[in-house]
Order: sequence, then structure tokens, then C-alpha cells
Amino acid sequence: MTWNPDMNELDELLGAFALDAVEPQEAERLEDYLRENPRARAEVEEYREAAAFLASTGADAPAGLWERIAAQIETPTGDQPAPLLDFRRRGGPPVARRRPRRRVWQWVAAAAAVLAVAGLSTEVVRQQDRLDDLQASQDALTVSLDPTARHFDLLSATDGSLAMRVTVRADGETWIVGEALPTPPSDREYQLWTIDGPAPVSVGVVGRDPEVGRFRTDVVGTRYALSLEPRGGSPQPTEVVAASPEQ
Amino acid sequence: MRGDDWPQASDAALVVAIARWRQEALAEAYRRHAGAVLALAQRVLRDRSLAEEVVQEVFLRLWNQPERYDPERGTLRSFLLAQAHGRSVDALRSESARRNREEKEARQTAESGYDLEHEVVDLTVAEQVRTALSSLHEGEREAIELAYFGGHTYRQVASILGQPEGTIKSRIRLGMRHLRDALGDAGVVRS
Repeated sequence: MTWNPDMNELDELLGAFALDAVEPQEAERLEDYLRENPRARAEVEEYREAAAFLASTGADAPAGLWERIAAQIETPTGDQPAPLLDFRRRGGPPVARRRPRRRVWQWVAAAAAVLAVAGLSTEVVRQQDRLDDLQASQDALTVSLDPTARHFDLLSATDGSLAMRVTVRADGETWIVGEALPTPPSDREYQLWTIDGPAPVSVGVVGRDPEVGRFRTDVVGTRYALSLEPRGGSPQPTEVVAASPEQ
Repeated sequence: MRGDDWPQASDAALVVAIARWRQEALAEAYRRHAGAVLALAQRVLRDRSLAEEVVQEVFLRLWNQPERYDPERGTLRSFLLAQAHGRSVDALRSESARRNREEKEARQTAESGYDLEHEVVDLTVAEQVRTALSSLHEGEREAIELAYFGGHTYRQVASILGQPEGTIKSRIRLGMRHLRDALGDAGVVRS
């Protein structure tokens, strides 16, 4: 027997669903419903949070159990980069990873050939080591959710995969979140560029393994690129490894 | 992050660190929430070793799939407790568990006497929860207890209480709404 509930019938079940008190067939249908209906989803989330208070006790974490968990945890070794969370894209369609169009590279190559252009910023801002800075991670998360910020996805020149995300707030504060970037040769590091005119302008040197970083800069543009440079950075890009597609 | 900074980390920061394979971050999440997770699982399953398995599953899942937590949707604690509750109920409803459960319940009926209020051990929250619970009607409280802590479906609750299914669905939903409102008024949950 197929069950074809209308919206009212589904709504009546939201309380029971939040308490895991429905039949499996009902749960499946409700999960679909919640995906389509943000109001219903919010209602269930509120009930779950209230239920968590009923359940919440001040009991101490059980001793001995942690060791069993720790023994089952696998931590990747070596150069395998950590996957980054993408709260911003949750629930949306998967982002299509496009190969950067040829025009982007021509732009960057042409710009790099321009020497000593007035307006080229020579100030190179060195990124602080953010590996242990959880506050930076949380701030990056908050910024990524800022509806007034602009987002740029820098795609790899070699395979079009996502190399870095750049978020620019309305006040010009620029955040970067590095994705799976290969480890550069020992004498090189990554540098971030933007363009808002004829030539690329340096936003800053982001280091050898950029994870999360923030730049206070007046330099904002309409496109961004990441290049490999000698340590300490360069006044103009030499080897561009990723760039945001043309808008 | 230095060792002594972890207790200050927010939920989102902890989960971001977990996603970066920082085992200390998972240990901090465990320190904060495993007690409540175990207590809930134990309450539903009435079996310590099954409850410990649920705790392991929940924290391993957090390690392997941290992206399932969305800080916009609620606290890490309510996320972990919802996971724990779901897994506990699944275990409870599995075939073999049902048989064991019937036996246990027959033994426990006489000494039962538990109600929601006595389960809340954390004194700082207990008073607010007690006040919030007192805003529920008896029927709502009863239905919620049987569903949430008893692990029963609303149909089973209806059968146990001898009430129509529609009445139980409605009592659970209204009761949760009242509870949410009361906890929101008390400043205990975001309203």
C-alpha cells in the first residue's frame, strides 16, 4: 500500500519525526519533505534541540571508552591534505568544476609581461602561520556565510580542480581557504594576485601550505590568481597555478 | 591551538579542526559531550554495553564525516544527541533487541518510577528544564517520554496509552512546541 501524505499529514508528523518516533517509510518520506521545505526543516531542528535538553546531563565523559575510539581513528599521513568543510555550499547542488577557459591564462600571461606598471603594489604581505589558529578557521567560516561578501574559486591550471577559495568582504578584508594544493619545491611559495585594471596586483604571499589566511588590504579586484614564486614573493607573477574564471 | 585553548574553542572551530584530522579536537568534543551521549543511549537501550557502542559510533562518525554537522542548524551537542538517539532507537527496534527488551521491561515495570524530571542531572540546566516541562500537559509529557526515552513509534505510544494515533501525533508535536517555547523563554535554547 503506497502512502501519499499531503503537507498537513506530513506536518502532523514533524514532532514524532524529531523524536525518531515514526515508521521507516514515514521517515523516508519526511526526509524528502524536509529537503524541500525549509520551514518544516527548521521546525524539526528546533524540536531536536529541545529534545537534546531533555537528554542533556552533566555526566562526565566515560573513562576507558575514549581509548577504544582513539584506537579506531585513522589519521592520514604524509602530504595528504586535509579535506576542508564547506558550510557555505551545504544543501546546494554540487559545484561543477570547470576547466579554466583559455582566455584567463592569456590575460594573466599578458599582464605578467607588463613591466613596472604604475599602480603595481610592491607591498608583499606575509601570511601568518595559521595552521594552529582555530579562531581563524572559525572566522573564515563566518565570513564565508556573509551574504555581502564576494567569493572566488581559483581553479587549478592543470586539472581544473579547486585550488583555493578567496572571499572578499565589503570592507576589502580578504580571506583565503586553501584546498588541495601540492607542496611546492623547497625554494618556492604561493602568492596571491588580483586584477582590477591592466596588471595583476599582489594581495600577499600565502606561504607553502596555505590553509586559512586573512589579508587586510586595499587591493581588491574582479579576478584572483595564485602563482608559485621564489620565497619572499615577486613583484609580478611568474608561474600561475590557479585562477578564478572570467566572470 | 595550544593544549589549554581547546576548552575555549567554539563548536564550529572544533569541527573544523576535526576535519583537519586534529585528534585533540575530537578528544575535546568527547570530553564535552560523551557523558550526555552515553546517558541518553543508556536510557533508551537500558544496556550499558550497547550504549557504549553507540557512543563509539557517534564519535567515529563525527571524525569521519565532520561535514554532516552544520553550525547554522544547532549546537554540536544537540547534533550528537540526535545522532545518538537515532542510533539507539535503531538498535532498540532491531529483531533480537526487541526480544531482550520485552524481557527487561517485564522485570522493570514494577520498579520503574522514572519520569523526565529525574533524568536531568545537570543542576544548572535541571531547573530550567523542570520549569519548561511543567508547562506541558500531562498527556503531552507522557507521550514525549514514551516516544523519546522509550524509543516507541507514535503508533506504539498510541497503543500503549489506548489513544488514537492522531491524538498522539498532535500531543507530541504540540508538546515539543511548548517545550521549545518554554526553553526559548528561559534562554536555554535559541528562540
